[in-house]
Amino acid sequence: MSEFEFTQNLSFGQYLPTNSWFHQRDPRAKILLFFFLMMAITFARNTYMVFAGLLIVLFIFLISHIPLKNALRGIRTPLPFLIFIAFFQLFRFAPTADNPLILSIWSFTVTIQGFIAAGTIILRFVSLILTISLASFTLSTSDLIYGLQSLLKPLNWLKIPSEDFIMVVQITLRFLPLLGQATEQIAKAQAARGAAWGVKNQNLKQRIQLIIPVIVPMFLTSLQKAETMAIAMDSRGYGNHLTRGAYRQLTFKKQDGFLLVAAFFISALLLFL
Amino acid sequence: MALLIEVNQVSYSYPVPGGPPHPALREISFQISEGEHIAIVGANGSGKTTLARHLNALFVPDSGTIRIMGLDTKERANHMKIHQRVGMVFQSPQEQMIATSIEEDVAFGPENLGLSTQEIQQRVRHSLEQVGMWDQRTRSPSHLSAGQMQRVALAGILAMQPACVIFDESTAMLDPFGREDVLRNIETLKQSGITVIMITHFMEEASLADRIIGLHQGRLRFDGFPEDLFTDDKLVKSMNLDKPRVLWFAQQLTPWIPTITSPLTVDQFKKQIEPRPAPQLFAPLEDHHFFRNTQENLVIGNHISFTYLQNTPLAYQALEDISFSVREGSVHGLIGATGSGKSTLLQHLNGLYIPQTGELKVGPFEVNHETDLLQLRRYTGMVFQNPNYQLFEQYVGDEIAYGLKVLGITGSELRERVKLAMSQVGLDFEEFKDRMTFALSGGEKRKVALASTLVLDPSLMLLDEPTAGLDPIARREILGQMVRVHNEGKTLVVSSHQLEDLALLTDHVTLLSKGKVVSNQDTDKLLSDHTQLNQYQMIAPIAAQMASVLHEKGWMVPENIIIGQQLVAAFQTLGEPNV
Repeated sequence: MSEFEFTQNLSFGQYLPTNSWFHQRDPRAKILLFFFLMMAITFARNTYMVFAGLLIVLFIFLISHIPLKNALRGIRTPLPFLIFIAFFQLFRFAPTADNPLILSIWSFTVTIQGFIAAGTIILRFVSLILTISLASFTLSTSDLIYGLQSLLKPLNWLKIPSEDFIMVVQITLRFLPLLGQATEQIAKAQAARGAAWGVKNQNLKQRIQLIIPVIVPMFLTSLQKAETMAIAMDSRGYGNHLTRGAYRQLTFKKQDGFLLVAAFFISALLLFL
Repeated sequence: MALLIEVNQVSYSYPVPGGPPHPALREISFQISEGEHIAIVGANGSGKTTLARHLNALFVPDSGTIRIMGLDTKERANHMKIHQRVGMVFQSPQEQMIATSIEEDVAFGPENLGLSTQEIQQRVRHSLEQVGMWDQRTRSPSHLSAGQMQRVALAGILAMQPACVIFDESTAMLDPFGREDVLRNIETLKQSGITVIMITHFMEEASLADRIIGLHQGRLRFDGFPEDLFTDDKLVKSMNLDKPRVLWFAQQLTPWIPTITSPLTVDQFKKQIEPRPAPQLFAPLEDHHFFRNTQENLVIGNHISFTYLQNTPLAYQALEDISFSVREGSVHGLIGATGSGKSTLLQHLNGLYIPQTGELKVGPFEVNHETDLLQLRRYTGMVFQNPNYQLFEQYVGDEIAYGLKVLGITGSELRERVKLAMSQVGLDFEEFKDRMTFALSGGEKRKVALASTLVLDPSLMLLDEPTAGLDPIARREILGQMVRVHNEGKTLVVSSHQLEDLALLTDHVTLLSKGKVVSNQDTDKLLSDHTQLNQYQMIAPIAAQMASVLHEKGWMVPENIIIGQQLVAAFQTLGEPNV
């Protein structure tokens, strides 16, 4: 891996079109399914139910033919952080009659409940991260945009301009790789003239000192790019107040309804059991 | 023919914070009829882009009026209709892509028109088929080459069914085939009756138009046929332009071939020469004019490979088993279509990338993970492709001093070295040191970029597309500076789409295709090998094209001619023409 590939760790647009049954479902159904699932995993009180949530996510990985190793890469980076949080959970509870003590160091006590809480928090975060990566593997950006557009349409009755909001999402998604490229070019230009990019044995402070001079020019060039893009949009007629047309029309089939209802009930079960 | 655009006494100024506004257009008037093909030419900063943006109501004049199909651009209510009928393809391919897939990007315009889904789908399909990109419709624009992006941009405009398309330097960033591709599309547009307005720095492209509009410092200086502009040497010079190279060379051949009457393109040149009854023979070229280089190799690459985003689903192999060498004291060229790996290879030579396999030796350094990269980068200076992204300081002086400051040099030594570097590229120290970098012209930015590398006094200079997007005069200046730097004893590696430039500068050229080395030869041999160049999407320099035309007609000029002077010199060996 090279020092300058800033876009590498970006998980956006990592869409994997395996053309499975799950991929072919209506984007709106998929968006809602992921929304339900994330709610259920976040708020489920019972550890077994969080575990069940993880199994369901893994099941969807299976039926959408996505190799699990793609998802595991996303877990590796935040893992130390997760373990750090989980570590504190160990000491959360005081020992009682039905919460036996396992270990005590000075005044810190590790109990069974503490152990369970630590396990649950890791389980919960891992499941959430897998759900999010699953969403990006099975929803292309255009699925996401047209799906959200259709789902948010009712907001227009409340005079909230949902289409403008969607355009913001779309431009942002388009702009992220451009930002990455701008950063790369500036970092390279500075490296070529003596900044210590890619040099070994640097401490954290030295690394941070490298990044700061890149930030201001990065924003400046990004603003220039944004301006060009705005002119390009203007010249193609964006911003008139006619109703916009849509290139894709989504069709909601029976199977999509089935998927949605199933997702709803399973998530409800995870939440309330 | 019906009138499409009327420009009447138009003036426009850019506001300057804390100063008087900068006038960009001054009292310009002209008219454009339906179906015309027009080229707008002028030096950098002459107001071409500003004018173009007035022609589709992106800008509104300060004074004067513009009517498009009778609609005044001052009326905001007319803008929708004008944007639909007059489309624009911009210079930078990336920033005009709006959506995250090609088909949706093309759909953007029709969606804004509020058309039905069925109609939009039909138009998207039709226009993508027209530019040959329908089979790639679901790809993301960021994975396309510059040439492909320009095609998609054109499709996005065609989908709005325009009466007129403006190309704002759309070919400046493209490789020769990408450029030909745009020109072919322009031809198709013309045949279907669409008006084409093309802004360009390539005088050869401008010669293809029916009519040229010439700007100089915001004023209209010329409006007429291309022949009339380019045969008026004084006018061309006063506008800081250049004649098409074909004309330049052909005029010098007229004493020997009297049938030549100011051709602007190679095709016209070909038509004007009568086949000779008996072939006229020429002496072979004298040995190449510069061969000062020693036989020592400064750069040696052996079986270098490199893959971007290795071990991810997006992995992309940019270099495959590259072997090449650069001799000390030479100017070495890298050519190849967009995406052939030229820039990636250059960035290996100063350790921005480290070869994943194979060995690379640059001067005293072995480039691998153990190399002292700071020393290597001091030894090897790099000037990047787009000066907009490599200047990062606010003031010119600071920009050039950056590398020295990193080394800890301060005070009068810093000042003297910055001053010296600026004089080497022809920038006046007092005049330029406090100028803002982002407000410089394209040519000035290149000079600053060059100076900021020269100031570190590297032994090897790497230059990536040093002349892309420059007007003819600025281009000639930058080339002159490169020659000077070389004469001072530095080794240069230059990558370029402009084979004309490489013909003048280099003695060796490496041709890359899809990350592999295809050929590694003396410049004159490679650049006059039309078959091989065409096979790898390159086009021979104009002098070489003219030489091969002459060959067909029985003027047996030496086959390895690649620059105009050689062509003229060959004819001079024939002695005075018999008048």
